[in-house]
Amino acid sequence: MKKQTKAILYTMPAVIFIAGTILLGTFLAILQSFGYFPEINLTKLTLKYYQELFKSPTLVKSLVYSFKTAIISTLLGVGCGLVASYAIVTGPKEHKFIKRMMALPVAIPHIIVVTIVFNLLIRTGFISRLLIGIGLLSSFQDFPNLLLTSSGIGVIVVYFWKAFPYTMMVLYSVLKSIDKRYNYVSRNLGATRLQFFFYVVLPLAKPMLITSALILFAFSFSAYEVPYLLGAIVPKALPVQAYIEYTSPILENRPYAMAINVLMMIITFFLMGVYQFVSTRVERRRYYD
Amino acid sequence: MTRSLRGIIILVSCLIVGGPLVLLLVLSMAKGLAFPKLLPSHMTLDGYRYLLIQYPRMVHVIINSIKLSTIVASLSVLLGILAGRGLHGLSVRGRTIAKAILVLPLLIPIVSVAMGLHIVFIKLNFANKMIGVIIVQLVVTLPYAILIFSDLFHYLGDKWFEQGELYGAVGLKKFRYVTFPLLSNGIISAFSISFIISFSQYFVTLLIGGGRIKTFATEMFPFINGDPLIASSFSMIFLGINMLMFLCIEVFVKSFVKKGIVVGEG
Repeated sequence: MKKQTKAILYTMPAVIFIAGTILLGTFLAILQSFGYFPEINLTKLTLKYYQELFKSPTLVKSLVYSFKTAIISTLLGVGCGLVASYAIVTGPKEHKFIKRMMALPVAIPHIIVVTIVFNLLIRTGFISRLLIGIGLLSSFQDFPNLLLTSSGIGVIVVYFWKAFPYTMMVLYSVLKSIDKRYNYVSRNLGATRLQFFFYVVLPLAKPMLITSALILFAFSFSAYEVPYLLGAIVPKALPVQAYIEYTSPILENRPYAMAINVLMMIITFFLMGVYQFVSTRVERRRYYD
Repeated sequence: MTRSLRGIIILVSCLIVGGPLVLLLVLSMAKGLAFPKLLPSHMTLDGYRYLLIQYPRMVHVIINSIKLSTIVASLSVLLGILAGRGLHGLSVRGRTIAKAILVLPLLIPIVSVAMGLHIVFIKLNFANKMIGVIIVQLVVTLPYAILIFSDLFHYLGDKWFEQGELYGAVGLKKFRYVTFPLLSNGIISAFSISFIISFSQYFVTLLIGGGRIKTFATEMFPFINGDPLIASSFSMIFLGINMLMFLCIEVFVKSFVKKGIVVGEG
């Protein structure tokens, strides 16, 4: 019992700090989104901001844009990360250098990745020059406009470049811990290499795969910097749109900003439910295996 | 997976990760990179020289940023150790609930939380001040530190601490000669990760700092999609500062752990 009390005491500062800030921030955002903003004499609760939000065609486009960029970059990153880490794990020798190199992007912040991707993908950028150099294009006007357009390619590339090595790192230890004998057993029972991958490796890696995909999605869906710098002018990503409404000199616009925020929160809350479901299953396995 | 296919996958992965980094380094020193040219005609240090010497208030911004991020990372390590230790001792049920709360910042849009909190911070007189920025950045970095320490404590188990107690290391002595050396690798990684995350925060710093709190990230931001030389030099200096800090914290922590064996990988 004493050990429990001590453990609770140790955990409390962090729990109180995070729960306090997150819940307070969320609560106030929700309150303001319903039009409760006493600082400018708005005290009547109303649904009108949400109604107007869903009527506006730009919001739906923003939602689709944010969702699209986040889901594509996450799926590509997680997929490639899985394949690459499987390739490294099944290799004959330890690749110390490769492992260290793959850890690098995790320590490189998004704004620096934006700097690189901007100079790679802009119409007069490195890739365009490379294509002209080998004679595939004749001028930069033949190179498609990838940045600041509704295709969201620049944003996707940035998030992919972060997600791919991240997934690889996380999955490396999981795949490494898979017993080698599983391979012999399954091959002995007649499974092909592909079948071994899909029926043995994939199910074992699944919990970790889903957890990292959710974290990556939540981040790319709701971060401001990348779509602000590389994203389209129209439609704007949700966090960018929210901040524009927030900083509008017309204070009555602020509830719109908060309604967008609440929308983003609801989507990630839903994901969190999935995350919780998955991670408790991981935790259970840890203890009963 | 056949051998050649594996080789190709590994090679492509390395190119995807390494190529852009090499490009950044080259860009930061490239002169005479007129449009269709692939390689610069000669190298220059003008970008670095401009930013480090001529750029107004650069030294001030760098020092201010390092100060801010060091405070955030230290708090993050401190609370992270406590929570990691606590989580290890909790019942399975308690741990599940506590962990669910502690990873919230990884999953809830910080942009939205910060906008919601902004008005409270203004009322509490935290906005446009160091303290407000520290609090909001700590929310972002803390989960990473906690995950590191909770894994580390889980991996270490109770045996080392019990053994230390058996030999008379109690109270502060236990922390100094048992807990701290065992955690040293975790402290180094948690500090480094928290530091770089704090150092690269743009949005929350801008919102809560109100433009008054100038950090390296807020200073760099307007230059990112501008002149390649300046943008990439900014990026390289950014990375340089962080590498230097990683080295500092490693030397600092290790200086307290001279004798004995360090168990556990961060």
